[in-house]
Amino acid sequence: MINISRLEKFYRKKKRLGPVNLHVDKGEIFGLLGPNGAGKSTLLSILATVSSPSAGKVIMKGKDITEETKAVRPLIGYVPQDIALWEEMTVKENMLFWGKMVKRKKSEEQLENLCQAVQLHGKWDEKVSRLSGGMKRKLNLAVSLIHDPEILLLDEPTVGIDLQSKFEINELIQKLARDGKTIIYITHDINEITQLCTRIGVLKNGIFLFTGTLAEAGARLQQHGYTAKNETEIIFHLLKQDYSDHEPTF
Amino acid sequence: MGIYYEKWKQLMRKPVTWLLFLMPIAASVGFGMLFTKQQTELTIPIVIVDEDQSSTSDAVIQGLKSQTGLTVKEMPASAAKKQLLQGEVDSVFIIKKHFQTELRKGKRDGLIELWTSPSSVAAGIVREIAASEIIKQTSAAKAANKVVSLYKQKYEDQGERSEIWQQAYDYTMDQWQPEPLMTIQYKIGSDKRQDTNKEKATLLFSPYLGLWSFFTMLSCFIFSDWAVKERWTIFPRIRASSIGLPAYLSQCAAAHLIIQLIQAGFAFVVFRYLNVINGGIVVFSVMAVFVLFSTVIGLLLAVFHTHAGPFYLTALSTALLFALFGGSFFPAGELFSFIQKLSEMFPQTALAAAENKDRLTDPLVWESVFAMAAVVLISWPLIVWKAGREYD
Ligand SMILES: Nc1ncnc2c1ncn2[C@@H]1O[C@H](COP(=O)(O)OP(=O)(O)OP(=O)(O)O)[C@@H](O)[C@H]1O
Ligand SMILES: [Mg+2]
Repeated sequence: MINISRLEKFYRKKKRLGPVNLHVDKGEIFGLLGPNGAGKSTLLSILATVSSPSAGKVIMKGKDITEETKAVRPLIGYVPQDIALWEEMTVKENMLFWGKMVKRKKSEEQLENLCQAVQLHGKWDEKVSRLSGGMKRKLNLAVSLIHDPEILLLDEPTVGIDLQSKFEINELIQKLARDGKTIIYITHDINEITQLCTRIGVLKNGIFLFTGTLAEAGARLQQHGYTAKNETEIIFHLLKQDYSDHEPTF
Repeated sequence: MGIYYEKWKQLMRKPVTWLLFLMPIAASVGFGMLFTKQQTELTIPIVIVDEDQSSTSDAVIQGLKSQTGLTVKEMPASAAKKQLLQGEVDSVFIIKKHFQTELRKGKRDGLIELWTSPSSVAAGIVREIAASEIIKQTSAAKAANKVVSLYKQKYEDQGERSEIWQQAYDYTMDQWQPEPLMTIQYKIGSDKRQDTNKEKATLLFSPYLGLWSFFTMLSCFIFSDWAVKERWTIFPRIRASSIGLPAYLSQCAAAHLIIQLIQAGFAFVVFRYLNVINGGIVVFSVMAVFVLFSTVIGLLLAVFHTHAGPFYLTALSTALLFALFGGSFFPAGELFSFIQKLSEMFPQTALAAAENKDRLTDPLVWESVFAMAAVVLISWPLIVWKAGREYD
């Protein structure tokens, strides 16, 4: 579904990402993790066609994202790390406005149901500026789902969302994956990494130290002489390792 | 189209929109009135003593009264003298007895006596005005005298024939209407370019329209702050959506433009109602182009800023620069001749020219309109490019 090959990104002649090679299949929830400044958001924004790659190729559903940008965009639902909403407008107005930006038009009722699905209840006519931080996150997520995108690119969508809602949203995302959506999910939440993601990639200094399932990660760690009692420790070791001296070993 | 309408509705609900909508018209009418009021207060007081009390002396007085810049009072000689000594009036003009009869005989000198205070500023001007009035009167009288004498010669008539005299006199006086001398356009034998420059130098800009141009530009600039505010939040997501950033930018700009166009229409109607501008639909058309120009320049400034504070500062100073050099507040070109050429390149010239000429086909008007349109066309791709660039 998503095929990334030798992708690189420079900011003012400084390399921030790459070379990155990655393949994500339909129905996967690919967890993207790594320390702050690793390049996760940079990678996601390139996939979302917000910024353009300095080198390399990205193919989505058989389409090159730089050459067929117009055809790719309707496939993508993008949740940027920063909240992208009009603060002075209500939830309803925001949903309606973003609903105008997409090709597949939705009725007001469908939009309201979408807000329910992300656990944003009873705030339909509330101004966004009056919502709590977590509620804004929920709406931020709902907006990206308006056009039923096949590919979801979610940049820390559940930061600051209460546990109960996060649980429900995770359920929703799993359901979307079962329905055949392809999801790339950036998170710093250990539970989301272990419970939600089907596969993970650890990004550091712009390159992947590891891509694969947690079980694979555990096996590889053992090969390198590390012992991990549980998944949390596996992730801990994955992130702690500094592999910058050599090409990623796994 | 949908986005344009949504944005428009969204804007209409914001109080700041209404503030920016009303600001140009309220400020230009408010300051305009202050400005023109001060102008009338700056007149020079003079006194006329009319000893002749004839229709001709009255015509001279009316002529002086119609001059802006002078306040003309009539009073007896004794009172006038007192006022002059107290420094309350600038100068006193005494129209001597038999002014009309002497004048009609073709005599010009010594008919008006002039008293001035040592600090008089008006004597020269008033003397000129009075002289031109007297020349008018004497020329007409001489012409009438001639007509009557020719008539008498031809028909060997010895009667008074005052009705013929009067008709000839009135006819000649009519030739001076509506205003003598000053409105004749002098075309001195030189190349065309210089000719138009001469005309440009005398463009009179209604203070109302001048102030409107400044406040409208400022309003359009501030109105463009959405492009600064949405830059890091909304724009990235727009880029990822089907509509794309260029379409979003143009539709949002259109929504803002429509509101400012309504503002311009409203201002135009108010100005016409108050009778403070000349010109008709041409002036409005140029106002509309000016609004388009200001909106696009506002956006251009906005996409080159990352924070609202510095943007407002740049917006204000840019609007001020445009107003100063373009002549919104006073004709800049008349102060410093080297600014003259520069001033002609500013969009305010189009407004002033439209008000004076009231023809789109006048080179002064269409050249400026064309220049504004060109700037808009060049700026737009730059705006789209810059707005999208920051993420690359
Ligand atoms: N627009 C930009 N201009 C210049 N440098 C940038 C820009 N955006 C990101 N960077 C740099 O690229 C690097 C990667 O940033 P990125 O936002 O992708 O990190 P991240 O992995 O998402 O971090 P976090 O976990 O904090 O969100 C950082 O060093 C950052 O400073
Ligand atoms: Mg990030």
